[in-house]
Amino acid sequence: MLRSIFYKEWIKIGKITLLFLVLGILIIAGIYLTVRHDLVLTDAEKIWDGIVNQRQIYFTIFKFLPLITGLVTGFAQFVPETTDKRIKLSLHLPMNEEEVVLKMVGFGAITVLSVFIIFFLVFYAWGIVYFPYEILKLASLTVFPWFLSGLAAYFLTSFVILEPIWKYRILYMLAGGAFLTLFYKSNRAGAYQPAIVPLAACVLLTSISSLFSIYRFRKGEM
Amino acid sequence: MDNIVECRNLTHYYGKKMVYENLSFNIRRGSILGLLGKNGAGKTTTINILNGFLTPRSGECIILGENSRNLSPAVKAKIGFLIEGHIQYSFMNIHQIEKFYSAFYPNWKRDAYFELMAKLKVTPKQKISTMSCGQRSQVALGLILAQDPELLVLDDFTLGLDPGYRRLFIDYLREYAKAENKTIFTTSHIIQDMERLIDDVMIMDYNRVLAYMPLQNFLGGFRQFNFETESSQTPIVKNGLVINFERVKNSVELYTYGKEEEIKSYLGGLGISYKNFRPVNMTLEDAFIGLTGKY
Amino acid sequence: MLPKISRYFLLIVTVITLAYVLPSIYNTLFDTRINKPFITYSQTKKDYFTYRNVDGKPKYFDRKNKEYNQYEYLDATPIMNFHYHLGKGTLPDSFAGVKLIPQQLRMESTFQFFEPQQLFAPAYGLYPLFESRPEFGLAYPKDMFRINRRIEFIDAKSNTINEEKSRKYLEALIKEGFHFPARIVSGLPTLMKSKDEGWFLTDNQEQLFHLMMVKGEPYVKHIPLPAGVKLKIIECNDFDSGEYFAILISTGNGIYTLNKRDYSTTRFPIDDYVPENQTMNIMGTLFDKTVTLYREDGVKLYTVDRSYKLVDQHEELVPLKSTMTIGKVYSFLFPFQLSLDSPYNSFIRFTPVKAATWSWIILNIVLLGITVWLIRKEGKSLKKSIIDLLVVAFTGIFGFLAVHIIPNKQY
Repeated sequence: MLRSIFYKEWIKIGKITLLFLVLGILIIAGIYLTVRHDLVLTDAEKIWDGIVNQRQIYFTIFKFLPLITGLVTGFAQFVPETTDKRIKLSLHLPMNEEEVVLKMVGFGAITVLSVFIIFFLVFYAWGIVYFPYEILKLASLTVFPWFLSGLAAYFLTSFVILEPIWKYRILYMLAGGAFLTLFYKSNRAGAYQPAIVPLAACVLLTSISSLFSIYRFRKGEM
Repeated sequence: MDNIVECRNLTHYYGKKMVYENLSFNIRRGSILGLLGKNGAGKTTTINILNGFLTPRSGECIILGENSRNLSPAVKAKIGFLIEGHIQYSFMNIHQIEKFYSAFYPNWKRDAYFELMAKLKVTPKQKISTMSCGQRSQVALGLILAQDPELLVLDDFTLGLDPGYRRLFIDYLREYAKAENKTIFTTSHIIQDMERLIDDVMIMDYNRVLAYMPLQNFLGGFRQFNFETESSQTPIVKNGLVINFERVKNSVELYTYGKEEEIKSYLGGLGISYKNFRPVNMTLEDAFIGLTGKY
Repeated sequence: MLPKISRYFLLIVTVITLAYVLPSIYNTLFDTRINKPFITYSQTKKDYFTYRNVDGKPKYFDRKNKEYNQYEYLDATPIMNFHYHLGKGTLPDSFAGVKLIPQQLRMESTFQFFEPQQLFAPAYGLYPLFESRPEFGLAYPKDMFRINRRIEFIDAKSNTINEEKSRKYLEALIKEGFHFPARIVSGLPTLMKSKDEGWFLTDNQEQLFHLMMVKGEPYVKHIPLPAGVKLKIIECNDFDSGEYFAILISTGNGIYTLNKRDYSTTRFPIDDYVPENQTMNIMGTLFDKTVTLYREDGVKLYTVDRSYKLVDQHEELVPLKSTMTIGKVYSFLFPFQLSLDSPYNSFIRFTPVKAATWSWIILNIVLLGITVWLIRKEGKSLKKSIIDLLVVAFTGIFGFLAVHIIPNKQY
């Protein structure tokens, strides 16, 4: 049954996931090909100096990609579930209703997370060719909140789309949008280091929010 | 009597608007109950309560021994559910959707599904969303047949079907239900052809039930009489005898569960002169309109 | 059960979000600027002059609040504003028995700025080691070093460790008694300086060292610190005045100069500088140094002579935001605030900040009353809403909005 749910979810988000995976890898490739190009054209130490002492961030173009990935995955997965109240089909499956929803959201979260892990590995592994560990460490601390925001965006998108009433959808969007700004409060590399654990905890708190939307749906809010 | 569904004293409101109060009904095992009513009469509300998508203000439904507010997976497996408009996962094709559902039901009847699919002129990779309404209804039906449930809950399944598909759907369903001793609860706002399907009828109007009885009793007992009158006034009131009446110029249509003599003596008592008094044969649809009114 | 829990989780996240966002919006709309006064020391008048903008005109006031115009002020501060007097030809020949030479005045006039946001900021831990005695001017080195368990020079072009150079510097450091890893590494990693003095390091045993590259060879010098002094901050300078390499700040917040002459240290007679939440600047002239500490509630100045003896001090208070209308309304609205960024460091950190007063209690009680009224009006049970009521009672406007954004329908 789990495999069957994963099968259906993959039909919905498979293509979009692969698209974002390719897009993200192309963007990372673009980032490092630019770095390589700059290393050829200018002195390597000038580029290091720019990063270490002039606070340059060489990967800002990557900033909102995880956020968009999370949002679009949530859309692709749950809009087809809610148009024409199709969610009734999932809830009618011979399974506990909460379990069905948790498995759907769980699959989406694993997919998004897998894409992010691949992004991160490519980003790190390629970066360590040109830069020492110290630069990649702060770069990692910088992209980490961006990835967290992507995961939060996925959970919140599912939560908003599954909510049956438009009035609350809009309120949730406002609150959720405000929450997502918390991940983008500094342009300085490594500034988020002390906030990563609390932010990750907040993301965990949003992870089961879809259950609340489904609960409201099952109580007859339509 | 062996009831598969027992709903007792259902009362529900949307905000302050009453849907119904103290609605009670049962569905016998092996019977087909049709809940007929106009749009907005509370049909889907009833279906939602039955399927656990709505908690009524008060009252409860017991389905296969369980309260509908919290159906166990085992009971849900025994209920086949057709959503209004034959809604299915339209982003899949007929093979994908069969693969998806088959894992959930141990007694999955794959052949029943593909037998029905073979009659559709669809390509194997065609997504359900690109199919016609009639084709989609067959996919939804095929999935329910493959699930092999004890109880079929069909929400307004005639919606959007052309006459051919409607007839096909109804005949297929009736034959299947009777052969396999299945129980069906269906709602519809299109009454045409419904008498080919249902055993019992429940007719619902805004916030009340107008009739709930075996179909034969309803068709046999509910009568229409037409007559012409020259009287400028027709002081007929809806009472126990006269269920409904309508006057267009000098022609009057009168609906009743009473006999011809009772109506005639009632009209006589009111001093209404009439001529050309005649009983009219009614289909279920005529009777439905007679009962609920044209508006 | 889980759906209920998920609602409470959402309430927590919403309260956290609102506790950051609402005060931010309030500040964006209503914040006012509180000018920290600009104060200078006058050697000739032995007094402090405070600059104030009065009706668009610059005015200066001495400690007795006597008003001066700009000309009078400039005349009272000939040493600090020697450029002005030089141009006008009004620079005195001598002051306090010392002949005033413009060249010397310029060399000895120094300014150094200590801002918490710069002192406490994320750092990479990679440092360029310049050639300190170059033949043809300063050039940016081709490598950077890290100094953890050992010192390693990483060539930027190849991104590989220069083992030979690393070993040479490792040996030099060990020979001088350095214990890895380094704790503080401070220098001026820029070409925008007149000369290079290398790096100042503290090691794992709180010892201070000077590291330079001279003609390609390591120069390492262990610098003795006063007994018991451990360093927290080292800030180097590039002054023409050859007086000191750097300002050292100890863990006990003592301020020291690290003198170029003999690597000795001299302590300022100042005990109330807190680098974590104060901005400090040190302004030096030929005759004295004035240290200005900017606190939230005011400005404190100390003037010391060339031998670091206190000659004068002055304090001026500014109104606190919490005593102004915008601050009062603020603490009426918000029982607390969640700050993410801080004026005192460059990190993002979840820090709850208490309100300055208790006036928010009134609003909390009103909102609690409204919530009870709404619950009754909708015919819900108060008993089942007890957690919501507690949330409103303790988090005020944040909780009130949260419990209504994430509705608690009872079925």
